[in-house]
Amino acid sequence: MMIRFYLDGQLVEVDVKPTDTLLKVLVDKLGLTSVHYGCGEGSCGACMVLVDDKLRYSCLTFAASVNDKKVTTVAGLLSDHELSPLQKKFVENNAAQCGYCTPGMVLVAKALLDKNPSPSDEEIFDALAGNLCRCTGYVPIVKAVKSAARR
Amino acid sequence: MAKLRGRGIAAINYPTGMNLGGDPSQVVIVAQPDGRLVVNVASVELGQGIKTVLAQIASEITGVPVEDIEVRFGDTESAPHDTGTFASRSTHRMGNAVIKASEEIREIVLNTAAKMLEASPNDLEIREGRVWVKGVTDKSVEVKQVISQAQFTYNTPVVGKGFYVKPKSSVDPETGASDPHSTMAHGCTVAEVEVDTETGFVTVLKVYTVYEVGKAINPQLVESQIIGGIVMGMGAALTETVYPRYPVLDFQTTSFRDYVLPTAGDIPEIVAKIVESPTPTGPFGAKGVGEMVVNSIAPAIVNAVYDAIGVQITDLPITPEKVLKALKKSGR
Amino acid sequence: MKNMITLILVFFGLVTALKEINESFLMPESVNKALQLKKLYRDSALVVSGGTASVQLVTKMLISPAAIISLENLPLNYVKKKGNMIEIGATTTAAEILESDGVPNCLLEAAKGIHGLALKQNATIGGNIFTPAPGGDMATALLSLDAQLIMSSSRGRRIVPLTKFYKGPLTYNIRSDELLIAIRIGKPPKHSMFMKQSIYKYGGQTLASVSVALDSVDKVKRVGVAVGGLTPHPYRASRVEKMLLGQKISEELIETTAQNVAEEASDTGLVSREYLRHLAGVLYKRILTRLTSSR
Repeated sequence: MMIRFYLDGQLVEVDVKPTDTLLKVLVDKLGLTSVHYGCGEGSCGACMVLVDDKLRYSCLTFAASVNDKKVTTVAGLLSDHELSPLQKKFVENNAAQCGYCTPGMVLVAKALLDKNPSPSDEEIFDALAGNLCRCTGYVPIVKAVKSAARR
Repeated sequence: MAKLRGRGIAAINYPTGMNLGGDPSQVVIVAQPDGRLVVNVASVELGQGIKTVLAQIASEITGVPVEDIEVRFGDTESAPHDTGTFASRSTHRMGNAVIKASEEIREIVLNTAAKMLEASPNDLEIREGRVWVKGVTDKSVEVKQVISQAQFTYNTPVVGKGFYVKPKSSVDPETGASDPHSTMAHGCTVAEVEVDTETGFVTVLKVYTVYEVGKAINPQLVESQIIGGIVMGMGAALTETVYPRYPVLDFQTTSFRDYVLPTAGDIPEIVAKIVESPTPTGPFGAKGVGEMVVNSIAPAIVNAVYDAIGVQITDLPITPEKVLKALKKSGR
Repeated sequence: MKNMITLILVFFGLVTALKEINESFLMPESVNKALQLKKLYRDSALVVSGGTASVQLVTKMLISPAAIISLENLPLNYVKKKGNMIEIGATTTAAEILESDGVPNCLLEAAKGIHGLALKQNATIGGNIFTPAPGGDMATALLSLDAQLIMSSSRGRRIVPLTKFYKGPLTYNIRSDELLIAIRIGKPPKHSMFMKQSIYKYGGQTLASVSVALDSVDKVKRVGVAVGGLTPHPYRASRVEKMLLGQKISEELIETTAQNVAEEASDTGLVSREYLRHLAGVLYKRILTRLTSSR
């Protein structure tokens, strides 16, 4: 079935099977590198996207369900090829090594701060609990989120 | 509901690189027309920051500013052979190769600048991205300019090649003595834990950890490894296992549901320090760090649990059930 | 005879054609439309609420549905107070439950314990009821509250007490043309508490959970004790409940009843069933101790 949706600001049209996940379509059909397959079961968070500004696991979202919607990956946070203030905080705090978890981490941070600009430590830990990272040990990521928050 | 606290210590040595007498690194540095440098290495940047470290080393020796040095990785068709990114070898092996290649570039820079400044190469020094005549404050020229001029005015190609290998060490037939390791790095970790005696759960409260790394060419990157290592070591100590009932292979963990990693809110308070005891064999004295930072964590935690409950748990992970069984054994 | 063969061939052709076009993704806009679709596809449809448990059944090729019916566009995310009763729509997410008023404490705590912003914002209470252990935290809380499930079909509504919903592992008291549309908690008891233990404070799945809802700690007239994580679906510790009825909750009573909290359990990789039964007992004791001390 043909679906069309806005992907990081661009309108795309793609043929999908009803059982295709959004992750599969974004990576395999549209060649994106701004979402990652980590586990396919919603345990690692590397696949996260925003669908109409709502945080979703793209591996747990059927592609067909985003027809006529707006999908944002971490790449969609750039404006005029420049990193968003949140992404800059990640860079400044050395919050990425291999970068595999980073798309999920940034989008969770965005979803959290958009709703709650001054989260407590517990709220940050709870929000990030669904995003696994092996390289950084999380400390610089939490620092980045805190520095992007209004304190 | 009792919570027992304990503190444990572990110390380790860790060798740098492979010691088979055959893990070479080769590097070629090529200058761009405008004086920028490209360092070609066949190995891999994983996110650990070797790109940055090698650029720093090349900058230190050639005088070209670090932001004007590009390190290109991973193309084995155009870059000379490098054994690979593993065994904590990258900074040491590739760093040494980059030093040699950079020294070749530096020699060209000094010889060319000598002509440009009408001085002897021995009277020149490089600092702040410029070549200066020693003791003279108004006679200098930008390093990148020198490199550019070398190619276009002085007909000198600006290419540097570097090679480094740890020589194979033979074994003395009489004494058995050998020199298998390029260098040894060291680590020491103290872990503080709290054990819930009703549930057996172990919480790692605080980790103090020190690593002796020869020379931290980029301290922030070394610290990144240390922190990542703490979380990896803690996972190994408390939850991570592929075969939880080893040697019985039942319940093999096949997803992150059962192979459980710590998350952002689960990590202890961390105090991390770097100590430097430069090694003569390493680039600016640097030793390997990447693997060592995981190794001292789990034993420190195991020893902390021992301190808390009086029983040494001898197989990982330390599950809450093992702790309860140990508590029963020690009569607590 | 020829006509018969033609008829049979046409029939088979039709069935095959229907099978091919039947793998569809459907997002009905109204409950009635959703019910029509469920009636059409019955058990060959996968019903998707938040998707956090169901989508991977398809992607990991554990099931092969003829149709996927998404409840995403249905107006089933709400928390309404109707007098003494609370009604929660089946697609209400854990995050939405946490933002609502009048939700019993144990259910709030169960929703809070679903860690991860993405999971909180996508996991639904309806989906949670169907999800087996290690999921089902909200179901455990609901079970202790004597919650009732509202099933809907083209034939009308059917109310199923949650205590009568789980017939066996992944076997539910729901008919093939029905959808779970809402959960009702009638007159929630005064005190309730939910506690779970997962391997880390924030990370890892629930190993065991206990939810206790009661009217009074001085003289127990109504009590629900639900245990989750040990069996595929949560169960009520009815033996314990009988022992608590009519009693004043004392330290001694907590201790003696704790022995009876955990009935069956299954081994897991990290811990054995004996440990899980012990853990459930510990959680139960901690809940009652807290409930009595906050008098």
